[in-house]
Amino acid sequence: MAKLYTPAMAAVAKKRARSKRKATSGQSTPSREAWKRLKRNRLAIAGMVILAALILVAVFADFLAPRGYDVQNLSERNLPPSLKHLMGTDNYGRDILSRVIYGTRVSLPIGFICVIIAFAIGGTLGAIAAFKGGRTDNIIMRIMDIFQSIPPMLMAIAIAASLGNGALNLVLAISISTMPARSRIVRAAILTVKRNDYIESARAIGASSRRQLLKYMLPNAIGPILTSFTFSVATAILTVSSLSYIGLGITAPTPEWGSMLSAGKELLRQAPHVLLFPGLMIMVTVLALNLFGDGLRDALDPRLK
Amino acid sequence: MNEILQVKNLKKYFNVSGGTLHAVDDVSFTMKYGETLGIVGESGCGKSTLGKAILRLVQPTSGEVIFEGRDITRIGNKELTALRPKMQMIFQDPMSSLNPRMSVSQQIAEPLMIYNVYRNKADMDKRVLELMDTVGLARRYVDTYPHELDGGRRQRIGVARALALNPKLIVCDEPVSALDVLIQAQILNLLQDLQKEHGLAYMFITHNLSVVKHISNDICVMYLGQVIEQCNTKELFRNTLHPYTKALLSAIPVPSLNKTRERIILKGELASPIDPKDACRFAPRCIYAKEKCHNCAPELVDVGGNHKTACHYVKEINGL
Amino acid sequence: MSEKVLEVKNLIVHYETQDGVAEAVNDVSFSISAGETLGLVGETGAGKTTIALTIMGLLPKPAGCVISGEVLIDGRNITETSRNRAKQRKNDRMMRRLRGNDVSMIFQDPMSALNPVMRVGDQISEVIRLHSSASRAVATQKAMEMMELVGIPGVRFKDYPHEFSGGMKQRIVIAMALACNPRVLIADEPTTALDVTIQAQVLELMNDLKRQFNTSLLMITHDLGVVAEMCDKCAVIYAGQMVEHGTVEHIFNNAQHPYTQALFSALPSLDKDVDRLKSISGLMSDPMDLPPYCTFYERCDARCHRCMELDPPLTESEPGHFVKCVHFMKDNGAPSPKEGAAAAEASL
Repeated sequence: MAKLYTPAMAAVAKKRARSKRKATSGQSTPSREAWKRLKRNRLAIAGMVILAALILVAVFADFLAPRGYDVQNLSERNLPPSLKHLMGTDNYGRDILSRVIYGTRVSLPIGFICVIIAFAIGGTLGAIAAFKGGRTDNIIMRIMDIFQSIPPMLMAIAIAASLGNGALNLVLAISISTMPARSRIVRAAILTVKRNDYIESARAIGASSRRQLLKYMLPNAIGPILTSFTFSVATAILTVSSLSYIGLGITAPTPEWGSMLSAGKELLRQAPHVLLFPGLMIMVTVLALNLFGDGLRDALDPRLK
Repeated sequence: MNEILQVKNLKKYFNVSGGTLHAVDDVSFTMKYGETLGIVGESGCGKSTLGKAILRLVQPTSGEVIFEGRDITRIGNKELTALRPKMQMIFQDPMSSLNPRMSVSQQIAEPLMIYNVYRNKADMDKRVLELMDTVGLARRYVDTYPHELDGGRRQRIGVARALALNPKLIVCDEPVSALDVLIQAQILNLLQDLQKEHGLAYMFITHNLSVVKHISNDICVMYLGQVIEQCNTKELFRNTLHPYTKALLSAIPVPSLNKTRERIILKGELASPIDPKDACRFAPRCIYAKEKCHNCAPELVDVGGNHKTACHYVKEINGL
Repeated sequence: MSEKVLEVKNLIVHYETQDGVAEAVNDVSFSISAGETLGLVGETGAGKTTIALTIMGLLPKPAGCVISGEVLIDGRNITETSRNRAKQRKNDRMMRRLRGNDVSMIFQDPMSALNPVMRVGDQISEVIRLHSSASRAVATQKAMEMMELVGIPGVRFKDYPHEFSGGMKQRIVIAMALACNPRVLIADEPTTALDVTIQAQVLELMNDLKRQFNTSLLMITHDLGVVAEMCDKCAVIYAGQMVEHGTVEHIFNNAQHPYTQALFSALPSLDKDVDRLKSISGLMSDPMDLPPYCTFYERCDARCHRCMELDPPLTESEPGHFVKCVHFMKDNGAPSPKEGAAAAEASL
C-alpha cells in the first residue's frame, strides 16, 4: 500500500530537509554556547570591535600619533581641524589628535586597573561573605554599608584631594570608593549560585570549602560578575575624567581626556574642537564598553531575555 | 553487626521568623546492610531534611546518627570528610544537582580527585569510563555537558558520581520524581541492579507510594516531621494501620479501570510545622480524631510484628 | 455522543528556532463532545502542551507556527495559518474574545498563574468583567460564588495569592478558568505540582464541576492513574504524533500500540509485586530530526522490516479504537505484532 500523502505532509518533508542540512557542530561547552549567542548580537560585536581598536591604538600610539603629545608650537594655537592637524590644535599649539591617541594610554589602563583592584578586594570580601554567611556576612556587609553611605564620587574626591594629584592616587581613590558596590555584586552572584543543588552535591562528595568556592560557585557566578566588570570600567573611565576635569586627577601635560576637556572649557566659544574630540573619545569608549557589557549579559544569561 | 545505620531521636529545628520550625521531630529507625528503607511523605513533611541531616549536610539539632557503630553527629570536619566516601547522595533534580560548567567526565571524576584515589590520570580516566559503563551511560557522552543531555542521562551521571567512591549507603532524595515513566523505570532498575552487585543500602526518599513499594524492604511514613507508621513493605500494604497512610494509599490514582476502591478524601491541608502543640499532628484532618488526639501526642508504638504506628486509637480503628 | 464542542483536525505545529525546525505536533486530530473528557498522555516533550497552546492561540511567537490544520470550537474555525500580518492580528483579536469565553486553560503551576500583587477575588472578577458586560458589583458577586464553589470561603476574597497553600491556589485557578462558564476547559498537568492527598481533592472537585457545568475537558497529563480517574477517552502522544486513540476502556484494557503497552508495564504497581520493571531503552526521537518512518521504530519490541519502510497512518483496529502501527494496518504485508516480536527476537 502506498503511503497516504497529504499536502501537509509534503510541507513537513520540505521542512525536514531544510532542518537536516544544519549539520551538528562539534561539542558545545557552556562558554562556547555563550560565544555563539554573543556573535549574533551585532551591537555587542560593534562594541567589542571599537574596544579592540582602542586597545590597539593605545599599544601602537607611538606609531599612530603624528607628533608627540607635548610638542608645543605656539604659532599654531587653537587651530581648527585641517589636513595638517586632523583634530586641530589646543591653546599651546599641541596636536589634539596626537594627544587623544596618547590619551588612550592613560584612560584605558587606569579604568581597567581601578576596576580590577576594586573587584580583587571588594569581590573577595563579597565572596567570603556570601560563602560563610551568618555573622561573617553580617560584619563584612555592615563595613561595606559604612563605605557605601558616602557617595562614591564624593569619597573619590576626598581621597584624591587628601592624597594629592597623580595617577596612582587616582587609582586608589576610585578603587576604594567603588569597592563596596563590587563586593555586593559578587556576593549577590554567589548567593544565587549557592542555592543550587550542585553545591550540596559537592559537599556530599566531600569537596573542601575552597574547592566548592573555586570550582563550583565562581565559574557559575562569573556571568554577572563579568558583565558588571565591563560596565564598571566605563564608570571608572568617566570618574577618572571627572576628577581630572576638576583638577584632582591627572595633571598637564599628561594627555588625559578629562583634563583635556577641562583645559578646553574656557575656549568653548572660540575653539570648540578642543573640547569636542576628547569628549567624543570618552563617549565612544564608554558606549563601546556598555554595548559590549549588554551583549555579554544577554549571552551569559539567556534566561534574562 | 547487622545495622549500617541507626538513627536515634533525631531532631532538626530551624529558627524562622514565626518561631521554631520542627522539620524533623524525634525520628528513630535502623537500616540494615544492603537493604532499602523507603521514606514516604508529602512535601513539607521533613523527609528531605531527614536525609540531609543523616549525611550531615545540615547539622542536626539533637539525636544520634550511628553509622557503622559510630555517632557521626558530633565528629569533626576531618573525620566527617574521611567518612563521606561511604555515604553518598543522589539528588532529585538532575539539572540543578550537576555543575553546568563541568563535562560528564569531570563530574564523575570529581569525587576521585577530591580523595586522590588515583595517582595518574590514565587510571582515573579508565575508572570514569568503567563507571559510565556501570550506570549505562554510553562512552560517547564523556565530553558532553549536562545541558546537552536529557533528564535520564543526567540522573545516571548523578548515580555514577555517587558510586565513584564505593559507598555503602546512598541517600536517594526523590531520584526519579523529575523523570518520565519509561526513564523512571530504567533508573529504578539500575538502582536495583547496583544494589545487588555492590551490596548498597539505600535510603529512598519519595512521595510516590508505588515507587517506594517497588523498591523498599521497609517503609517509614512521615507526617509533619514525625514518623507515623513504620514497618516492612509487604506488611504496610497488606495491613495499613494509620489513618493517614490509609488516606494516602486511597488517594493515589490507579492506572486501571476495574478498580472499585473506597476513597478517603482528606479535608484540609498540612498544618504548620512551626511550634506545633502537644497533639497528634494529623488530628485536624483525621476522620477518627477525638478529644485526646487534640491534647496529647501519640507515641510510635509496636502493635505487633514489628509494625509501629503513632495513633491513640489504632486498635479501635482497625478492630485489633 | 452528540455535537462536537472541540475539534482538532490534522494539526501540524512547528517551532522555528535558530538551530533548526522542531516538529512539535505532527498531524494530530481529535474531537471532544459536550461534557466529555479526553486525556492526552505522553512524555515530556511529546507535544502535549503545544497542542493545548495552539488551541488557546498562545503559541510563543514568532518561533511557534501552525503549519496546517484547524481547530474548531462549535464548528467555528479559530486557527489562521495565513502569514498575512493583518489577518493574523484580526485573528488574535477574535482569539482573545474566545479565550475565557469558550475555552480556558489551567496551567501546571498555580503559583505562576496568579498575579502575586492582586487580591484573588479581584483576579477572578477581572476575568468575568473582561469577558462579559457585567458590572463591578455583579462580577464581585459572581467571583464570590465561584470561590465558594471550589471550596474556598468567600471571606478570603480579599486575600493575596501567597496567603493560600498550593492546593488552594489551584482551586482559585480553577475558579478563574470556570468563571465564564467555558465550553471547553484545557487542564495542563493540573495536579502534577500537588501532593497526592491534595491531588485527590482537586481531581474530585474538577469531576464535580465538570458534571455540574457540562464542560468538555481536555486533560493533559503524564499520569495514567489520573486518566483512569477522570477521562472518557484517551489519546497517547509520542513525538508529536497520536499513536493510539480510543475510549479509556480501549486503552486500559486492550492497549495495542507497543508504546502504550510499554507505558503501562513501566509503572510500578500498588497491587502486584514485580521484581523488575519492564522498560524500553532509548529516548524519544529528537523533534528536530524525526525519521521518515515510524517514530517509535528504534525503541519498539515488535518492529519488523515494514516499520522502516513507511510511516503508518492511524488505523481503526476496532470500532472507535485507532492505532498508529504497521501491525494494525489492513493488508500491510506485515506480520501481526506477536509474530513481529518473535521475528525480532529471532533476528537478534
